[in-house]
Amino acid sequence: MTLRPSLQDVLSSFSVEPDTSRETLERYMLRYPEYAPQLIDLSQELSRTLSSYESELSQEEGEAIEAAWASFLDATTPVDVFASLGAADFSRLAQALAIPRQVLTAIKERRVTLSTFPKAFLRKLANEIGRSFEDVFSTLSLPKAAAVRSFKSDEKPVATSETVTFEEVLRQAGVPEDGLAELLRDDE
Amino acid sequence: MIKPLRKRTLEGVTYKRNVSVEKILEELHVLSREDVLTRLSITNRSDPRFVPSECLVHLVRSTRLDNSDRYFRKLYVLLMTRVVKALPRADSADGKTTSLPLARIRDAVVSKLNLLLSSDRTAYSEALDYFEVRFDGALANARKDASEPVWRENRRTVTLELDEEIGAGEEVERAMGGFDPFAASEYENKDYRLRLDGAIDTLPPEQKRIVEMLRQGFLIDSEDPNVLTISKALGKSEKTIRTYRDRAYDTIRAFFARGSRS
Repeated sequence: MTLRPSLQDVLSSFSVEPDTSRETLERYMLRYPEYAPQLIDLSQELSRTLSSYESELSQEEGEAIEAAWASFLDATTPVDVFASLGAADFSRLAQALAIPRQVLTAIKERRVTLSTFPKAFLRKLANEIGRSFEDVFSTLSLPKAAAVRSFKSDEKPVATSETVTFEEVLRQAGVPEDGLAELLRDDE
Repeated sequence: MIKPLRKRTLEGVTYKRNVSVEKILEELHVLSREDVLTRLSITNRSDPRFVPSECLVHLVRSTRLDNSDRYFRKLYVLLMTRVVKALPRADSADGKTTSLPLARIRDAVVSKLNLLLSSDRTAYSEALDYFEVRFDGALANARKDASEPVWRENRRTVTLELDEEIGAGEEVERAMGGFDPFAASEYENKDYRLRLDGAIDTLPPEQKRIVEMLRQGFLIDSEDPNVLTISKALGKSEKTIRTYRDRAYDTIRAFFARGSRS
């Protein structure tokens, strides 16, 4: 038995039919009698007389569009969990995670390949900065940060071009083997 | 090269944009951003340089990975302006009054589209493909979803719908005087049709459906069992359908007599 399409799929399909005259409506109603009332409702919406694009927007409509833009920006501006951390927080965080500061800088600048982090490490990071795992994950999914640091750094950059693995960045920073094993250990 | 759509039809075939939409997209592709914006500022649908909204949706989507926020904002505002203009206007012609239900429907449609556009920025949102196939249709579908709760709530304070089946004895055949809003001589007049849309909006769902089926030319009842009638489609007796139709037409007539959109 094939799965019946959902109401939303059927309505969406009907809405983009090149011709939504009676014949098309009838065809849909016969094929999907369970959705007949909603198909008729949509047919009525589709029959609506099109307004002209030439009219001017009212002040209220203009405000509605500006409000929509503001909420679009809110929804699409990615959260950067590191943005609010100052230099002191940063040092404390590196210490808490038992990693050299330049490794944390590399993470912050998204120079480390996301898929190479053990989940346990990311969870610990989220926990230390009081953010959700998802927020940390989405921050690290953002495109690589620009080369310019948000605050002056006296550390030597770990890597400059492509992203590297978490293990590589740790080795480059001279993390000893036992620390390495601990940091790369995953709990899953 | 314009990237193909991904959404599949109910039959499993990938949706395609209209040939004319693809052609205009290719034209726009070689233009400067400034020239694209000039073309998009044309609002007269019959101007040969008019850019259909399907193309505008495509431009907004394809700018998502672009770093020019200023250009994106301009495209976004142009798109939302068209969305707002394509919805029944909440403001009265003189600008003195605003219909709250229509303003709420507008805001709900805008917010739905906003949601689709923002999720499309992070991962391809197939639901937006419909807007590139047939913008007005996809928007009508969004408007339908947004309208239902608003009119339901609005009606609760205005009228009560009679839901039960109407028996033969209860039916009062009114002399309708042959009133048919779709056969009126003014039907060709755009203002009349806009007002008729407004009157139909105020009807309870069942009455609205009957009116729509009548507009589409469906029969109320038929001797022929193969004919899809209004009675059959809505699962109501012929008498109930006729009574609902009469009530709906009464309401529409009263709406026109009142001369108000409220």
